[in-house]
Amino acid sequence: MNYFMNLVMSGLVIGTLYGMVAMGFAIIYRATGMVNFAQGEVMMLIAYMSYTFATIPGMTFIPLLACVLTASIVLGLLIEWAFIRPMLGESMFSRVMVTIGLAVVIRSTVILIWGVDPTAFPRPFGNAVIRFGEMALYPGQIFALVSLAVLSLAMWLFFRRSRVGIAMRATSNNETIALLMGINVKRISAIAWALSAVFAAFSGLAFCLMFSLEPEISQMGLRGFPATILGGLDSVVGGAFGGLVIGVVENLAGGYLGRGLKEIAGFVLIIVVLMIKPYGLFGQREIERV
Amino acid sequence: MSHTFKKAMNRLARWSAIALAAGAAMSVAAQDVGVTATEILIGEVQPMSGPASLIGKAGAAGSKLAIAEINANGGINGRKLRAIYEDDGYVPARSVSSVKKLIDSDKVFGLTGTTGSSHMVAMLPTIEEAKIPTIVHMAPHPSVVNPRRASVFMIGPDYDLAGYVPISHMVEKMNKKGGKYGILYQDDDFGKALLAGYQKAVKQYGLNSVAEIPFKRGAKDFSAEVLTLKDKGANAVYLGTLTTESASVMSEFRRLNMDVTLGTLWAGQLPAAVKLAAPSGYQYLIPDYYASNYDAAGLALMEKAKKFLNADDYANFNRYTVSGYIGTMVFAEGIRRCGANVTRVCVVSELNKLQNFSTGGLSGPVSFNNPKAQAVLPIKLFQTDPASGTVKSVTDFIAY
Amino acid sequence: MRSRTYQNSYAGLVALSNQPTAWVWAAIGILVLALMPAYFGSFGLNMLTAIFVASIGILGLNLLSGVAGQISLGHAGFLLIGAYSQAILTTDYKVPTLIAIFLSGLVAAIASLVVGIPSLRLKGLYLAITTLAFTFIVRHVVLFAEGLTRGSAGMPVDALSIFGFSFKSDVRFYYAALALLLLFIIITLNLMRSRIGRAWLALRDHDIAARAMGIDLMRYKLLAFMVSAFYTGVAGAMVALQTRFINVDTFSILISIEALAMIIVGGMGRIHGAILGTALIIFLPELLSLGFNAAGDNFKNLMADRIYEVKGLMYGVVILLFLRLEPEGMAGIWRKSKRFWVQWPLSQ
Repeated sequence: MNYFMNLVMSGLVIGTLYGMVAMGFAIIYRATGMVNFAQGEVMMLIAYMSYTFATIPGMTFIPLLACVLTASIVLGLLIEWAFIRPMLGESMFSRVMVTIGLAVVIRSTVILIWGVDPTAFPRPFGNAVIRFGEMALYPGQIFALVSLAVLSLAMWLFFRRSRVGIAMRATSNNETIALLMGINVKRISAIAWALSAVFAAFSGLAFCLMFSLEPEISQMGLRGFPATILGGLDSVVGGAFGGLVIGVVENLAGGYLGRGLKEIAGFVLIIVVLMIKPYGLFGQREIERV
Repeated sequence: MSHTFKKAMNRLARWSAIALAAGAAMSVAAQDVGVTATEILIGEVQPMSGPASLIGKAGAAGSKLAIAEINANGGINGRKLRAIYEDDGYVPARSVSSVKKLIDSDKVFGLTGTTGSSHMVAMLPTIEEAKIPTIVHMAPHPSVVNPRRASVFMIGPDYDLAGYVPISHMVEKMNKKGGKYGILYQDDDFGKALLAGYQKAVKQYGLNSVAEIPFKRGAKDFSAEVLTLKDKGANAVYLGTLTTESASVMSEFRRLNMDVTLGTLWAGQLPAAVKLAAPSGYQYLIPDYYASNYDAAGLALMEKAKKFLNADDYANFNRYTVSGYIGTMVFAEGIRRCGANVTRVCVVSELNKLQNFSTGGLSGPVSFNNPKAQAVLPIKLFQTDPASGTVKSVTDFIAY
Repeated sequence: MRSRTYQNSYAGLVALSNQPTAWVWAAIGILVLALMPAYFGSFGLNMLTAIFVASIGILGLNLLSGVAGQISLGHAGFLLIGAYSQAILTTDYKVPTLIAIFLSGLVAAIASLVVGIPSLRLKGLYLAITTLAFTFIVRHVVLFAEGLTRGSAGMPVDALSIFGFSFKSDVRFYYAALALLLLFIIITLNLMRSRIGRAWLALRDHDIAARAMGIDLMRYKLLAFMVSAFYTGVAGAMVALQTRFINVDTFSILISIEALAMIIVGGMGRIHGAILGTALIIFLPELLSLGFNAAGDNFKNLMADRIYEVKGLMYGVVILLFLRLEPEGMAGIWRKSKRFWVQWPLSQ
């Protein structure tokens, strides 16, 4: 039983990373109807920027978090204004390819500036293991769990209670009609990208606090896809849930089945789920108008 | 035949004979591909970008260091050495096109850098066809010398020794014969070679091996694997992981409060790897056939590196820099022994005779005079010191 | 200035070209390509061969994404299947290499049903991501089925030979690749002007209206996947024959992204676009190298090892520039230049 609980716990921890990346994908899809293939690279860029902030003498955790969040919001807005907004009106394929091109550019730029060597990320909470009963967790892992919980709750309230959430759904459905209804499409798009950058910031920080600072962070983007699909591309809270499920399923597969099945467990799961529910567990069915 | 025709034919014959003789004379004095009166051109294919760029850049830096040192001392018998470095991004198809470029377009004399092992295997047909002298030193692989290719020379022992040596040391010198052994190995032929070495040690000493766990390359999270090791009660583990993965595994060991004796492979002595693993506090064993950054010979080479290399390459100095340095030095020795008449045939035959070539303490002596032309180097064992983030030698170079 | 481009027979409408000069230009183009080996050494021929082989795969992807409108990020998977089929068929089953190429295409086409059938239920980005998952799964299956594929060790591949005539040398393989590319171009042109091609275009532009017109969506979607996979499988077999050694690293997820870049840069839905795009993307690293060399040694020393990342950066920048400035790609540039000259002196 201990073995099982430990696997589940570790699965939840790694699942928070998938979940936060998935939330980043979901918010952009919900607002603009496109997938941001550069999510992993944005996460990488913010992680490296955080490293630079963290090495400023006297930087403790709260100021670091404030700096990182500000920087990520600015980055998100900047990317949306410079690369995405000019492509409004072009085909979906072109818009998605812009994100792919952007991913390549960001990854190369980060390596150019910071180099490829993996580096230890400063541990603002220290490195002591925190034990509760049988379970033991690092502060970085606790940070990841807490971040996901806080972000999910915040998003759930945001979409339930605010008009912006509903406006987002309208924009992704049909931009022209949304414009006619008086929705500021540009502002919605900008908000979505800024929020997605915030998710990227939390997931990047969580990765660095749990592992180390390295160029492979950008591959977390691809690994977050199964979680997004499972939860439904346009469901932000669904993405968080999907991430946790994928993390646990992967770990259980690794612990009980072994033999490298851990990696594809996630992909197999989503194909099975998609056959039953083509829009993911919580996704909205897309109604096509002829 | 008419008289004028006969005269014309005679004249033609005469001029042809003169031309042939002149041509023959010139070809005797003419140099081999890539060799001029003042310079010898060599080539390297290295992964300078992509996942293995840490290794490729270091290897190239080592080669640059050797060339700079040789040229500063007047070159080889009056000729300077120059090298062209091609980036293959660690993709075998690009390795093949890079080596074709070096051989056909740049017309290099020899190859001193051959990127990864499966990439070298992909390049072998081209290299064999061109009969170009080649030194393999960064990623020794059995199929490179099996069957023996006439112009290919390999430096380095077989990978399974990396799995065998630390386990053997744990049993003989660290009194761990009764321990429960486990291994974490990558699920490809590199990892399987390590597994083979580990299993050889297990069989030889009659050890209790409780867990042999494969993992996919690129995995970041090892919580499931470490939990399995804990579940089976392993307390002596061989980590077939690299740099960040090793650090991640050790961090999981620490979280689960496991008291384990650890060994890993030669890449574990990379300064970046040691620094990342230090917070977990484990003193793990590392076998290697090259000196470390902290051995006397390694420090001496770093001094030279400070003089001849740029700041980036100096900061990135690791055992792959040493490897690149030795590879080029050995090739240069082969060239030197040919004197003024430097041809590929001559260099290949001189390298075939090479015995006990000294690298100044950076490794054991290099000898190619064996059927496979493989310099099976003796192995040194290091142990990390997490408090200082360095490694210290535990044994000297021992032949296994 | 050209005029009188109306047709008065169905055959004329469907014909590949209504200008005899088009055929003359095509013949000249083929002749120039056939004479390349006289000027280029092994390295240059290697690159041109890579372009031809990649073009076959891109033509396939183009049929699926550009013509039939189904986004696929999973073509690296079909390349992998094609390459391994070629290796396994020739090594283990002693199938003649030429037949093995087409059988590899067939294997890939059958494998495409794994993605094609979900495509009937999934739309747009859900489909794209499923195709991505397909690539990962194929990779894992290849590594897993060691008995068949030799797992991570990779496999050597026998060279192409037809009735004993060996195509091992670079020059001969160049001609083989060129011949195969021409064959597939002709097949594509014929597909495009047949009812299958028209059905695909209808499927892309408005699938519900197409269904209302009586076009069986399921059949044409599956056909699109299978034909596209066939092309890509053949391309994979040719890659295996060219490099003569394959392992899973040869076909990474980056290949799928590169493939999409080739389509974007070339222009979606157009055959000449596909080939131009492929050529540009494959030439790009060499062009950049030339540029860096021309910029002089000082620049090179300044960048030192960073050159490789700069090249990667430029790659992404080129994609972004094309998307921003010329979304129709090279085919669009070609079309606009052609129209300029045709309408001269009244062009705008």
